[in-house]
Amino acid sequence: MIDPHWQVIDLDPVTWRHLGPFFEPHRYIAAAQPGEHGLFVLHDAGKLLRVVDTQTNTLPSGIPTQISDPETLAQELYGRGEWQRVHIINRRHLAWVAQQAQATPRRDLTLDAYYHLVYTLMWGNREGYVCVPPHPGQMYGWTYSEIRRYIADLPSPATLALGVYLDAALFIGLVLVCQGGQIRRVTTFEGLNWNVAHPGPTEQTLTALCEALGAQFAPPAAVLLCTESVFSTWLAATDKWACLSEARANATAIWHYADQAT
Amino acid sequence: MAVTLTEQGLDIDGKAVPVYSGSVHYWRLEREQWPLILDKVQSLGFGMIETYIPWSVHETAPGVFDWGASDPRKDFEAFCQLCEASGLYLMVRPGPLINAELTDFGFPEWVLLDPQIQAHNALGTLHLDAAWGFHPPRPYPVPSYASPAFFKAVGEWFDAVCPIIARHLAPKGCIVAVQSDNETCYMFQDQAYATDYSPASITAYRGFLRERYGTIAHLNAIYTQHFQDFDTIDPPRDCQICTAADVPWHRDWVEYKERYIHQSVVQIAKMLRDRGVLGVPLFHDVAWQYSTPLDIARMESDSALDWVGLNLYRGPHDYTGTIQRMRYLAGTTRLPFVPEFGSGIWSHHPRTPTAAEQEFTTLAALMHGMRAVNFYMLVERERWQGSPITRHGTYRPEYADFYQRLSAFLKHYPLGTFSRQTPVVTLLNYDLGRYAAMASTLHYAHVDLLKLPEELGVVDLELGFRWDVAREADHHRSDNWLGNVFLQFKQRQLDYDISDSHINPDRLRRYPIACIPTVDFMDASDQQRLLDYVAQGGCLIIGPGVPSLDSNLRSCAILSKAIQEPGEVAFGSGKIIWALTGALSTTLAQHVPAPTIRWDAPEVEVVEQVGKTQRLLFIANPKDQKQRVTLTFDTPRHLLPVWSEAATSSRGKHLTLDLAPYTIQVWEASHD
Repeated sequence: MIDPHWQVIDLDPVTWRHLGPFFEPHRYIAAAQPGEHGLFVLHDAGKLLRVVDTQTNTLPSGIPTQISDPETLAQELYGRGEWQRVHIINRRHLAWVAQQAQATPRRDLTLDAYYHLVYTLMWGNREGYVCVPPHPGQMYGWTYSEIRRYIADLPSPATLALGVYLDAALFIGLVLVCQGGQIRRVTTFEGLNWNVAHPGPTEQTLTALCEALGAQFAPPAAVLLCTESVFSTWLAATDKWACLSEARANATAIWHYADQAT
Repeated sequence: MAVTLTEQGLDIDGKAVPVYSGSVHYWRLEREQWPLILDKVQSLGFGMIETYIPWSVHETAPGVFDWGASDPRKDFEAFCQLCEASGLYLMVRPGPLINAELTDFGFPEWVLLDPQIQAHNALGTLHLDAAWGFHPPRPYPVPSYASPAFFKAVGEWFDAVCPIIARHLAPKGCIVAVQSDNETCYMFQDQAYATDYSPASITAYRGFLRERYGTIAHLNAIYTQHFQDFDTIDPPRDCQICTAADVPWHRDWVEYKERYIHQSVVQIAKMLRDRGVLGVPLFHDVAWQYSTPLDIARMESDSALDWVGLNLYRGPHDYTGTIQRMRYLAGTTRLPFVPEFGSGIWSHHPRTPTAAEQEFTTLAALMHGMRAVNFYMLVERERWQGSPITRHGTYRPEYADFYQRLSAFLKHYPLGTFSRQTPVVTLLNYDLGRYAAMASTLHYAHVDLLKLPEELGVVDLELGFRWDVAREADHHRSDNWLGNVFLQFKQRQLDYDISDSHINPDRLRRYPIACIPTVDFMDASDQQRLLDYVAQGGCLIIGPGVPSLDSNLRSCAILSKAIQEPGEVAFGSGKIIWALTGALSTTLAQHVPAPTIRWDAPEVEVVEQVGKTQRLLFIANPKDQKQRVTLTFDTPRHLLPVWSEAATSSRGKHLTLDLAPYTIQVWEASHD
């Protein structure tokens, strides 16, 4: 879904500073949450190699030098209540993932598809990397397949836009131009020729933005304008529609959502 | 040479010119905007700019080049002419590696897809750039710099680009420096067992062994093996050290990787020279590493290269990392240069710096020894943001204001003409870095994405050493010998430089005192260099041990012959001090001179720089809390605020300031 020659241009630094923390690929693949107290047990096809406790130098007792059942061991160690997550990692699995992912030049894969392949290889085998509780990789409740399908189903071309406001100031102003199931252009509101008197999550701003997107890039398929508070809540919410609906009722969010994108 | 390197910058046809530059990518800017943008650059106070000349952008098909005929933005010669008409100096970077957030890092696709050119990992498959880190928008197979086919392709690119560069070399033209490849180690060759295991690289490795040992019998004696010939030797593909006898095999692979990078950069430099790039300095930039496989001291001592710099993309929270690198540059290189000093950031970076953060990091680098800089990027372009000038030629006021103030400051206090007072150099033990590289594992692609703890990749070795080598090999620990040296210097409020055990002897002699962590082993030539330093009057402080072995763990009595037990020994005109970790406080108190300025806030840092007629006092608060500090001088000073919100000057033996979080003030100081 990322065009290998995408244009990422006219980026307002304020938007980019606020946007950056939300879109790190590590978030999706990472085995642990930042700052988490974890126990990592590395073995080579069962032979214990190394144990690391992320917060203490004291190694736990009861870890056998030969690991025959990593799942049971992980459950037993986690059951002690000493760690937030227990990882039992077969070094050969990590090697296998690297080998499989790099077997060919992979020119057919876009970057997101490549990382999804890595994700599938890494986490598709429960024996290779046992994690209790399961690895936390997430993108705010959306899955890769859902996002990819959504982009693929958009009219071609189409634009997506996100406007987030903190008081009267623009916090995030993001525009994506999609074509043929791929993101072709990424820009910010700075790259738009538009003018609105009092920007915010209002009907007036929404109308002006949709007109500008259509005139300059492509018809808008989905545009969300909201406050910073709503944006944070929306990302974390399980029921994202309910979150937005409540915000719309409070006049802290407004959106345009084209039929074909529903 | 028409242009020569000096300790202050460049000498261009007899004129001293500071290296105060910023990056502008001509091919990414509309041609009609070039004049406006260069005007804006000059109005910000810059007299020098820098650009890549990207291979894949110009060579659009094998042997087919676009120098502006199809796309006017690609008219590099016209860009040079405009720089010349504008009076701007230009540094150019023709690759072959570019990065610049270009798809495929600026390599033409047909080069990357040539199987003769592709690098291999230890598992025998390709090495894709997406294997480590995150480099949108498409993964590509990394080229092997050991491949003759790769250098043949590079030669054809250079055949096309070098004549244009040569036509615009100073003093007649604008080009004052040229880069020999960009961040050659960047593509993840820093992990010992990650890459390159391509057939071409293994052939080069065997050639390295042949050159080193001469005969297979000699190698077998060192390796305690029975190889029939060099062509039967395969490199280690992971840490397989069980006994001391396994060390030479692994160490040679680690050293081969150092040679791989060094020789690649040198070969590219020679290719540039062979094609008429003469009369200007050639430089190389290192991404961030300053231990194996990067050997900056030795790279700079190679006659093919004039100059090596270290790039810097760090925010205020990594103040320690910033100043350590600047101290390393100051202690090691001819002209401490940051060829890429982050100004703005690439679009896939999670944190765009603010102008205030930019200011703090820039002043921190100046404070600790940076004497030449290229801000990357001065002008925004696709896949880059947060620079002072947009691609449309308008200023981003908050960022532009900082650079305007900085330019005015450096006009008054010229870059490169002030120096810190550093009587001590702390040397990193290069062999300890090699040990850490050898004794590591999990150099598999994508492991970094999992965010595993670094300790998981450390291999514990039981080799019967007297001292805890693994502990001393970790340059980031605060509880080992080196960490204690740094801690003592901080507590004693002493400014110092950093280099490593490969430091040039002439350079080492500049420092009255040198400290270096030492354990059971050290390369014999490194030991001899240190002993020569002592013989000529230096004070060498070592510990926690004394090496009695060479790097192949064979008996080697050089330092251990000179000093046999902890304490102090006179040798030649100097002395050696063997200090155990617990004795460092006393030892350093006895031998390190007392600073002339003291201050009462331990988190604050103060550095005094001395120029020909002026002195500058940098006062930094590198913490996220406000700090009140009182400085006490040995003699009364007259102080004038030159980068500070303070409106009035100060006179006397004391100065009290309130420092906002992550800020640096600069005062001009003179003795009353």
